Amino acid sequence: MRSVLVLTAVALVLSACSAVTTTTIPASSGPSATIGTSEPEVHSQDDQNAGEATDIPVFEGTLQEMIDAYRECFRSLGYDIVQVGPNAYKTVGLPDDREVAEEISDTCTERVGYQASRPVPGTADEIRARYRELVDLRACLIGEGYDLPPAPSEAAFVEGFPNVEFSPWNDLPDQLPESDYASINKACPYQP
Amino acid sequence: MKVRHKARRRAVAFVTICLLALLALPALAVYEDGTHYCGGTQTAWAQSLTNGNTKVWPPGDSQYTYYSLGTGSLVSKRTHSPYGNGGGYWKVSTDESLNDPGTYPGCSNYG
Repeated sequence: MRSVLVLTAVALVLSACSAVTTTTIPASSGPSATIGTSEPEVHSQDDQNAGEATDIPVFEGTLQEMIDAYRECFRSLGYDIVQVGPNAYKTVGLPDDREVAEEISDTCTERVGYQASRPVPGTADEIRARYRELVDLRACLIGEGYDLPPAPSEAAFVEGFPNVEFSPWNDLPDQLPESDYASINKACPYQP
Repeated sequence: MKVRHKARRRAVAFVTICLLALLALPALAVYEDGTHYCGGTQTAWAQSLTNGNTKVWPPGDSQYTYYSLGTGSLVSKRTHSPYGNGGGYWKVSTDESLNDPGTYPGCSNYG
């Protein structure tokens, strides 16, 4: 009897942990002017043809160094990227064949990796700490001369987390020169 | 009594091994995809609401945009295809969370 209880507890722990790892919300169609479309589908990595890199190393370095490493990787394969945000890049010149393009993308992801994920804030104190980091990032960006909209209140952020959007990077002007994003990361370093 | 202790030790070891195995697993990726077509004078786009390491392939575009969005709030992004490409297959993937109602394709009447 006890072993049954233990196994049940383990199953509950495992399912609870996997639910925290990846979250999706059931499908619904988005508000869009549509000429023709198929119903969007949500998949997990277990699906066939997921097209996702599976062995992704941890990148030991800053966010800017990681983006620069991706640039180097794509260039070594004959392609390129353009940095489109402090935390973003867009590929340039990948082949029209989407399967080939995704393979090239996966190659660089497997070579470069991603920064280690920070723990998901779970308690109110952890969410408040994350909020204060974002407030500091916003203040730094304003100090660099960028005009940003007001931050949400701490109470609203904590209560609505993770659905209250507060991303100072997202509020930066579009299409800044690439060098500006590198300067931002140097002046206001932040790991999301 | 001795038998009971042995069973308890086994149970603890089993739970520990399961938890360690769980910690060692890579984060599961999740993605949403589909096809979406637009008129020749429109711009196709993919709207995403995610966090984590996110890649967005807008409709009919073989180029993608990568966003490092971390483990904080979900962040919305609208990523455009080249003007007038007509749309096609689109995909949003992440290694953290994806909000399905907040992730969808569309068309705009400006370039």
